[in-house]
Amino acid sequence: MSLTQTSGVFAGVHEDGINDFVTAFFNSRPRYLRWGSPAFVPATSISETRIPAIPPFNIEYLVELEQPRLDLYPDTFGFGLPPGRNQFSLEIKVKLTVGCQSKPRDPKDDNIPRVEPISTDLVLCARGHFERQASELVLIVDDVVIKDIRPESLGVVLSCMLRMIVQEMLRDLRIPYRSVFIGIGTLAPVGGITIDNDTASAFANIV
Amino acid sequence: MSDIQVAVDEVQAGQLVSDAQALLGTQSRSGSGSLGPFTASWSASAGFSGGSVDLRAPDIVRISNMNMNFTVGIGLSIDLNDFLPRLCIPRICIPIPFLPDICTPRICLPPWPTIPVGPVNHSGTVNFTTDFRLLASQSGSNWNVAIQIVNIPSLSLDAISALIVTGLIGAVSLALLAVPFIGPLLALAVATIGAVIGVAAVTGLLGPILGLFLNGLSFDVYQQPQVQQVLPNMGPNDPAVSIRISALSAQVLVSDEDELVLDADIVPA
Repeated sequence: MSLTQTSGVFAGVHEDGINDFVTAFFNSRPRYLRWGSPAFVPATSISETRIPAIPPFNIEYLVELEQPRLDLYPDTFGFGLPPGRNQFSLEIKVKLTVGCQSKPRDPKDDNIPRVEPISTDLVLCARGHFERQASELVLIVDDVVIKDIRPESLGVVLSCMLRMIVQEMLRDLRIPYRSVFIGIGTLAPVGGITIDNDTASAFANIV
Repeated sequence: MSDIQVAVDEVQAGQLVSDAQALLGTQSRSGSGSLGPFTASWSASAGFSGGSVDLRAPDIVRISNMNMNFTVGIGLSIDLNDFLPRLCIPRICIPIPFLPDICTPRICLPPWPTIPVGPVNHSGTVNFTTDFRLLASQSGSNWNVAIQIVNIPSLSLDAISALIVTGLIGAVSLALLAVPFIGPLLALAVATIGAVIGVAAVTGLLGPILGLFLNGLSFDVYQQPQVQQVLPNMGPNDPAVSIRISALSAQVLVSDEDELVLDADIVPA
């Protein structure tokens, strides 16, 4: 079976290559790995992203993620959620910190609440797939679980919260077809993106 | 396994070659060479187009019926003294009895001039089939994949040479008409010079001229910077994201279809 199949041009990106793109993204834009409310992140910068505290009690929190590593089907790295056909999986170590108000506000003080950070380390497992949107490869998260957390309902709550953050984190991690095809010709993409043999396959025609 | 493998089928490889032919554009050369007994000066330009691509493992791109579209201008200087006798009025003596003969001096016209001929310009197309070899290389800050000619093909030039011969003889005739006193010898001069500017002589000059354009002929079918921007700068907190192609190789793979395959390794830039 030819690589190009019914198209004119084929690009196969091995999971090592995908992870090189991922590393390039987070090396350039590390703010996508550190999300904090104003007590932790006063302003968005290149290295961190400010998010609102949780109303109505203004709960301050900080989410620090290690750079994710993607595993394309079939399972190579033994992550918590193994990838199915046409899927990738990833595992991220997450440090979740909550700003615990250790003493009540006192008008005689400087009127600023004292926030004592308390942290926990979690391992987030996610599974998703690649989609072609126009001429870009984008990462879509299908499932998220928190590893080894009890009770299960707490895991569901945290999974939901972290899923939103991971989706936001990956939203801007888009790989143009121009890069997937290392700049060969002017391309008109064809079909979607499949994952097999640890490789994401994309198709196009040179126009 | 490489980080990225890109495969191009034969039809689209033909498109890459066509784009590369256009990118190479028209090349120009000039020089001098032998045209029979004469030394001819010439200038020529050539470009390439067309042809069908046949990919052959492990690294050959055969292009059939590729056109070399060329223009050549050939100019000569002909010393007519090499071909024509010098015109002289011989010495004539009149015998006079009891006195010495009265003789006229031998009077010769000045030597024949050297005449410029041409340049005679001819545009044509020559068609050939030959093999090119895939070569991936770094060139400055770029990665290049070129196809480089393996052997210079033999060109069928006799028909083109015959047209050039006709043009050259016409130009010789025109140049001779301007030579004083040549009237009675015009036909002799044209015939003598025409005999030495034959098809074989022109082919002997034209072949090496066109060979210069084929020698080392190379088309860049892929040329990209080593550092490639993946995402543009999106503001002060989101700088551009780039990768660097750290290794690149090219080959032809054969399955149920022949494909030109590039293997690239990348690293974050």
